[in-house]
Amino acid sequence: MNIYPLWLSFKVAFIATTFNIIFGVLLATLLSKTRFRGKEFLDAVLTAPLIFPPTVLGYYLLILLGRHSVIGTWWEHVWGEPIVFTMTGAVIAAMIGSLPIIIKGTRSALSIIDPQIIQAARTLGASPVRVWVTIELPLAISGITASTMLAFAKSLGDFGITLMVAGNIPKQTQTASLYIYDAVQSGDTTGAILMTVILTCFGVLVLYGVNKISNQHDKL
Amino acid sequence: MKNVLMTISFLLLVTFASCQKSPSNPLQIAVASSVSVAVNDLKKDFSKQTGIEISIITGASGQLAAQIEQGASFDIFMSADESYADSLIDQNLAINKYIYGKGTLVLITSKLNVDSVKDIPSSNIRFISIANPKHAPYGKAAYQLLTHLNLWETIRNRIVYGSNVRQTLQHFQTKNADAAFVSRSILSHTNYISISEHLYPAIVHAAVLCSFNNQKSLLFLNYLRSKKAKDILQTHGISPYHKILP
Repeated sequence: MNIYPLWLSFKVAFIATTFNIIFGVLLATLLSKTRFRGKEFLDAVLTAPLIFPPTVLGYYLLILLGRHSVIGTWWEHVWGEPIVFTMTGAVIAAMIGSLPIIIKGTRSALSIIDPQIIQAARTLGASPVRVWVTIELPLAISGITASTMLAFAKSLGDFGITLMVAGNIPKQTQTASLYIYDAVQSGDTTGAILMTVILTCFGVLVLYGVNKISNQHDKL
Repeated sequence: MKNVLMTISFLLLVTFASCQKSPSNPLQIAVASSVSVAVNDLKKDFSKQTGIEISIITGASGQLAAQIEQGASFDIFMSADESYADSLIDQNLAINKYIYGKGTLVLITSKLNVDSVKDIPSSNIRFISIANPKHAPYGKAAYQLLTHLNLWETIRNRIVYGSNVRQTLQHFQTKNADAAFVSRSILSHTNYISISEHLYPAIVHAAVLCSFNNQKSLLFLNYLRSKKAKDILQTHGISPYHKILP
């Protein structure tokens, strides 16, 4: 069997999740620690990909990051290859759908920390950044970990957005979900079965792990 | 708790109520996206003549055939590839095959220095979109054309795939692909580059009946054989097909 699509899916999901942890935790901190006008609106915009149809998101990306858009032209000028129809496109597609999970999970994990602990650290002279790194993030770690795992699993299986922006090119952007879709469409069910089984097992395993982590947290 | 039960039963009620088929069902026709623009014109003319309403469901031929195999209740299936119609007939899922024409593959491009397919390798085209050759008839034809002209290996790294002709056209319309191989019948304009039909195998379009006792669908199949219908199809590049016997 051709396992390249599966390998590509993991690679894309890994890169997407790495970026998502950075953006997700920073945005969640911004949303939970600061006050500014339009904060809840920003949260709504960032969460929207969770409920938007993938085709709508894919079409937005095709227009916004397309080869003749402002961003797309700049990117192609700097890196020599476009965003759409490349692995970059697949990574961004995977990121968009799963970033809200990390933002939501981290924001709620940060918001349940007892404010007295933070105030105590501040009165003892710790800077806000130090409090954030040494107290808040460690206390929120299980929430961050669980949402990261969910986000990884979601980006591993992204289909709709990837189909729209990545161009379904074998060996370049054809991820496992696209491969399965192709195989089923062309009546090649045997090719799709093994990959489906692997993705299913992995998905269930991740959900099981997330539950374990959440339970551990409850016991503390 | 009571409220929850009320909500659930209300939702169930609404769901079942909407499942009831109304007596004046429109004729449901599953149409390959490559010919959807042409069939839309047929639909208007047929409805005007008979007063029968039609609702069109579009998708890649392979995808629609797979849906019918899974029990989708379409009345008629208008495939862009004869083989899907044949396979449904073999499985006793369809009858009355009628070949309504053969399709025309065309090249569209935004580059002015490209006048024929052979100009592609030396042109500044970065991406060419074709429908997926695995399950889309026009993608298959484009692949066969390019291999026949010995161009496939040369331009392979510029090719991207749409899941059907509709998505391929979208790649072109959003300017992400500089060129695309599509069906003449999906275009609503005539700004395209023609390709000699001897260079790729004929794309044979076939319609089959999927609901066996629906008088309306028989009427539509008969309408497809009329001169008016043939004329409409012809304006969209779907010309009469006569099998050449060896």
